[in-house]
Amino acid sequence: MKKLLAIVLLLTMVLSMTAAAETLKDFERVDSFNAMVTNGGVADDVFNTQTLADTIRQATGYNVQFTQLPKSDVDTTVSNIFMLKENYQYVFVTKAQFNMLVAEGVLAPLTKYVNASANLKEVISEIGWGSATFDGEIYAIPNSDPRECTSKGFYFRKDWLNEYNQQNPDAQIAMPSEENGYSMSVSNFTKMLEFFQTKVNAGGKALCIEVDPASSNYTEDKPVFLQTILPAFGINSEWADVNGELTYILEQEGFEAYAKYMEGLFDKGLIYYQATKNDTNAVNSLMNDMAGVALVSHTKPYSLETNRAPEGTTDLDNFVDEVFAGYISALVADEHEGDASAVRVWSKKTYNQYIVCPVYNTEAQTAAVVDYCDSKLDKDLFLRLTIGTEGETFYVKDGGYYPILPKFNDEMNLADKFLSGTREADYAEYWLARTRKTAAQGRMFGMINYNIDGTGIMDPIHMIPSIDTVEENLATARNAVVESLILTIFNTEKEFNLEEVQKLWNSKKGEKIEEAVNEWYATWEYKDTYNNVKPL
Amino acid sequence: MKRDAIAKKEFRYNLKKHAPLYFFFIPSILFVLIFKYVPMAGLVMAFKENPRMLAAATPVQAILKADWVGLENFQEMFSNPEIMQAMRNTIIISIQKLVFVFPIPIALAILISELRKGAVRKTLEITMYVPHFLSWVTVGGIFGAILSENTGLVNNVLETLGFARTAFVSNKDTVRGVLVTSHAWKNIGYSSIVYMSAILALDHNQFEAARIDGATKWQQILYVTLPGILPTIAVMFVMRVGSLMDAGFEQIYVMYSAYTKETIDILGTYTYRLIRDAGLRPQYAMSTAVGFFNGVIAMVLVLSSNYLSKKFLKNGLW
Repeated sequence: MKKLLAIVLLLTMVLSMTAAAETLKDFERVDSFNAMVTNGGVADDVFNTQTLADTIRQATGYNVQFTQLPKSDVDTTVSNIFMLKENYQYVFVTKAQFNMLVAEGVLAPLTKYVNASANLKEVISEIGWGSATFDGEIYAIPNSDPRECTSKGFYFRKDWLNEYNQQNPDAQIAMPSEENGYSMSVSNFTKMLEFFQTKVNAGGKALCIEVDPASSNYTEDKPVFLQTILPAFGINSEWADVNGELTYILEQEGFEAYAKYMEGLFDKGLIYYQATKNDTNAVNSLMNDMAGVALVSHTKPYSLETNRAPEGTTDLDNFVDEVFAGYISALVADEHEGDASAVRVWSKKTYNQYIVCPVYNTEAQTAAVVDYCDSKLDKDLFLRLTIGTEGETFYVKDGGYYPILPKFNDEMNLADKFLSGTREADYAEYWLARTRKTAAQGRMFGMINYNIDGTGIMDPIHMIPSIDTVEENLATARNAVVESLILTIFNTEKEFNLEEVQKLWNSKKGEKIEEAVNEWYATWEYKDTYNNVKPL
Repeated sequence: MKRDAIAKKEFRYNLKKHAPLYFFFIPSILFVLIFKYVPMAGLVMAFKENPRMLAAATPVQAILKADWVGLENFQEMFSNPEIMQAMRNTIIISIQKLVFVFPIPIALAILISELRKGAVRKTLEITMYVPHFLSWVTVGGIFGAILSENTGLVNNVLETLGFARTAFVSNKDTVRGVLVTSHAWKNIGYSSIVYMSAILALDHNQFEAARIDGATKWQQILYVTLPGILPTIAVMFVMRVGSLMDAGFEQIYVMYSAYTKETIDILGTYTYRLIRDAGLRPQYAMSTAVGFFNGVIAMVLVLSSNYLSKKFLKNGLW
């Protein structure tokens, strides 16, 4: 009898212990921790007293103190957190930082907590978890981009193009529209630039190529690969699958033709290339008629379009400039002129943000962080944390989400800074409210993403895990290439020479990088399904 | 032996007499020890492989654990044409600044000290000091706007006069001129303070005597003012030469572009880029090697300029 009782007791204990690990709530957890989050552009005390911060604390039950990463030199700050064992239990990192940290072995494994979560496993896609996994263990909670889309397109002076068409009734340039997938052929684009050159003010150039405002002078993330022009030359991403191998842009067929085309435009005096951040940028160039075309982000149309609003226009949020502002999503080769099905757009849906826990966290701290992230993904709470409350900060029209301004801006502007994993399917729809803050922005976003499911091609390199050869050499090699291209394409004194640039790439270990990239790509399980749209 | 005893006694006497002053000296000594000498221990990294800071328990352990590689980092450094180019640029830009900018504050201080009207003098002094307190980002913005190829005032004037527009800031041949000019604009006013103080400290009887002897204003400057402030000039010169290997990182950082890399990429910006390119895997060992080499050159420059200053100007830092 005693034996039986002992066995029953033992079984009960085992069962209760097994049950204990079934949900996150059963893990020992702390009730407060410090979080290092991405920069929201406000002081930390303002960030911590946001309505959203309070809502999160109340809803999750965790007292979280937020500190924001600096705007610049983020790598050093993140590096210092782990090197000096700073008191942060939750750290926001980028993909590159995640790759490095996981390779250095300074991240706490999260698998058992994630497996015990209520929402995380369900709402974050497998490819997302794959990107956060290293040697079979999950080390981060991945934040995906909201949806596959492109965020940039060409703004052009529609009134000037109309003027050109009036002057050339027999050789009209078709206005980018739904019919042609908001595209334009390369030859027409050149003709348009040549005409615009006669319209810009003295000292201006038809096309302005601006330095990425978010980059430092040294990031070198400078626009030499113009995503709106490259598809016309058959290049749909910086690294592209060519016959089953990921091929760098320099080796892709069509790059030489692209470079020579751009060089030609520059030599003809049609391009203003912004050399430093202190030089006039795209928006200012366009507003002052110093340029007629520029690659701009979908956050820019409000300034651009309202700048030319008729005098007396009061409702600028709903103002759309149909007279002066036009948008091009991508150029197409001349033989595909007007063919919407031939449009290809550089699109993106990456996992570039991760929430990680330092390896020196206690188990209770790590469990708390994962539980906190998991709780925020409850359907109702997630909606509240991303776009607020229906009728107060957003409304629904035809199944789409629209912001109610100015309350949406006042209360939800920093919402994305609090994200720690998303309900990916829901967020793709909720996020669109952010692109509809103004009619001008919504219009441009809609045009450059017109039929993106049938035109968008994503770059697989965004999904690459941590590989030493790539981590150590890619940035240096790419920067050298970009600099060399600036000095040849956007410079009248030197001529572009593909062989020389390829040599430079290889001298910076380009071949080794390609080899390492392809070793991974050959075994990547999403290789054949990552892009639904195929190149032409 | 007897002299030693006297010296010791004198030292003890001075120590006792000026004890409170020595007390105030302690923070400075501590500052120099903690922030200048202790970090020098990190120079060992120049002779080691790149330490893995993140994986180690502490940064010190990471440095200690890294293997010794002898002079490998220096060999790599000297075989890299980019570093050699950066070194050349550093020296050229620094010398240009020294030659063209160093004498201006001296002349300015003399001119201001000769001004009779107090109000004019005060206004001039204040307006000249202001640029020093502006950040390089602001100064870069101002010069960028004035010199802009498309919309800049200078180019507008040049065009009106029939000259071609020039991208001064993003042209490798003109950008050094912009560096020197903006450095001068920002610093000459502030640098002149030292010389003005030196002029004010001069014995005015000497000027009076010179005037009585019939010396002209120019002769007074040449034979009284300049020799009087020569010790200050010598000290400032030695100090400036000592920082010759620092050609102005911040200034170049805000004006840098791919177009001008060839002529303005200096050791500071090169090292910075080395770290930035490496992301979370900073090249501590190589950066330290570059910094170490930089320091050695700076030391040689200080020692030799001090020697020359003592030899020819009869004044030096020590």
